[in-house]
Amino acid sequence: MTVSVSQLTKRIANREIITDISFTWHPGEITGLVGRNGAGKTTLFRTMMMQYIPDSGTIQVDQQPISQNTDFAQHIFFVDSQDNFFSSSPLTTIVDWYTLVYPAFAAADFWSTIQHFAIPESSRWSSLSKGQQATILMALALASHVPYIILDEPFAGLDVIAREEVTKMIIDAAADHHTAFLISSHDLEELDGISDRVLILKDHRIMHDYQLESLREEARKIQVVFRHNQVPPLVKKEGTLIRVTGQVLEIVFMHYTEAVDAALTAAQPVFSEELPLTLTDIFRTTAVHDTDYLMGKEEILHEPAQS
Amino acid sequence: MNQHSLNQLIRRRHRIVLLLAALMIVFFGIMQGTGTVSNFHMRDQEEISRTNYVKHVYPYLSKSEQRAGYKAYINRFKQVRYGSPKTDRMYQDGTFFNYFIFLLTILLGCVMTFWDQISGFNRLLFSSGMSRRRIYLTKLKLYLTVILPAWGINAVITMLFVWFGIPHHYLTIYWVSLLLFIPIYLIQLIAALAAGSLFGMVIGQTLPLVATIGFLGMSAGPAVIQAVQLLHVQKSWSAWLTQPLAAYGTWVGLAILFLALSLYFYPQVSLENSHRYLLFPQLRPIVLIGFTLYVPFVMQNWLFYDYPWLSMILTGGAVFVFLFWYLYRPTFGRRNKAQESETSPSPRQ
Repeated sequence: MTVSVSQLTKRIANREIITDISFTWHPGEITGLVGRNGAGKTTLFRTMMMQYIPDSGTIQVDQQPISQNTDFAQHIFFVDSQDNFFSSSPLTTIVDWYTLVYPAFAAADFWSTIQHFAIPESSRWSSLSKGQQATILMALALASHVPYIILDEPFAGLDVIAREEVTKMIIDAAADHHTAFLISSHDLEELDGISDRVLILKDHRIMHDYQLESLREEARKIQVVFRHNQVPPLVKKEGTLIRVTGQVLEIVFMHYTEAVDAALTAAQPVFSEELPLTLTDIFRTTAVHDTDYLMGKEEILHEPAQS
Repeated sequence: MNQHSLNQLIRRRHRIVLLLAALMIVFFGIMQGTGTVSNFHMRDQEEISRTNYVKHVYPYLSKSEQRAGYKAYINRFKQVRYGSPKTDRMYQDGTFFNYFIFLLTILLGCVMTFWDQISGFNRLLFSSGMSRRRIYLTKLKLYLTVILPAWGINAVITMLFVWFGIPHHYLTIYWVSLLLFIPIYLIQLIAALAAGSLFGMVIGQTLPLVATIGFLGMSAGPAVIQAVQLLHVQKSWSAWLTQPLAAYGTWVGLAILFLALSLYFYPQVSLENSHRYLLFPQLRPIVLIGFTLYVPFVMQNWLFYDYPWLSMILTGGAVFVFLFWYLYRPTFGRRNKAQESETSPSPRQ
């Protein structure tokens, strides 16, 4: 069973918030959705869940298009962490609602998770801390026993321990139940540790779709100091400068070829070292055209640095 | 999710509102019954003496009434006529029609659609896989299964108070006209619920919703009077409305209109416009033009008694300017933040 999003477009107030979004989401796959604020991540989730009526495009579960009339609640779970309706509802009421909407919802699993995190069963949503609320959302998602779970900023506002707990819950669900996750987060470090794949949303479109494992085989992050700051033309062409510290450049090559390697060696840099490539680096590489991520790229790529 | 689960979900969500509504409707029945009985008994204290009758009433009576005498006059004065077809606007004369229940039903219609919209509960409902049309019809059915029987209990309570509280020789019940008009009371309530639900699904802010319905409700009477004057209706329109056929036609028509509009709009509710005045931005020109014409039409010469056209033009201009600002929020060159998308509430990095 797969979920396919095809050419999904949503306009709000005469502006396209998501444009022509297409991707396929496979069972058991943990997919990170990365993009800057306003890129359209939440709108994508809300449109996928029919909270927003799409202007065009389709969402299919197992090649069956979902619409207002399709019972897709048994396949996909999404709770809007930014704007939900729990207000001051008691947890028992919230569980009642979800039991009715999600046919496979296991209330016992939910209460067991809550107990594990020492959250009182009699609590009301509004009386819980941010971390506890995030745990409740995770517990609801996992208790729904659906094959696809969408999480919007699940790590926002959580302390280190809570993050680890949430991460563990995601990994366990993916491993034990083959649950697929689509997770948007600004916490790229957390996403980096759990994602199999990452979709990069930019200018309201999916600009890149990376399988992290194969990307890490193909891409490299090099820290280098060039002699007289002379950057070889092939390095300028193929690399993306993500950070400059004095004369030390951090360059990401999305396709690290033998030719690039030869060019780097031929340049006889003063210092050169490969660093582990993180999701943050990938995001910086793809978001480099945005002004606050420029970091002097033009200088390096268009004219040799003088010093 | 199936229909049964949807019924349960909506019932659990709205049960407190519905329970309170049912209690209020029943309470109104008690109020109406006790009110009618106490009004009757107050007439004992207001009963005119024979001397005063001869002095102040007799000269002004018709010949036949004069012939009938003092006792017949007192009898007629104290007589309670229940459901009389001769009573003006008997379909809302205080027998089974209760203005509070009518208003309460409009309010319940608003709550039915508006509450889930503003609280965000529609996020769960719309993600459930049930069509919006089905969600609306399920809510409508649930509300009607509470309101209509509650109204029935209300009517029975009122009737019991009247039946046991008023001596039968002072009580005339016009059963035929009462039974004939009972369906109209029910259709009125359906129309009121549908109208309320339509407002609740189109308007997305609490205070403006109350203000809009309040203004339209208060101005409806003057608007009809203005329309009657404008159209030079010779015969009393209210008398015309007391005819069962006309009453049926009017209220069935209104109920169908409001239900059809609700069923047209509800499937188009998309949550991106939540918390804005209009959940359907495409209605802005219609609302703007509608109110710009309607308000001066209702207000007429309220500014300058002798110059109605001047008053209407100024009123219309003011309404247009206010609504244009309110609906479109023009910023004249600056970026319109009010109309920005709600993609993410967090600040830019």
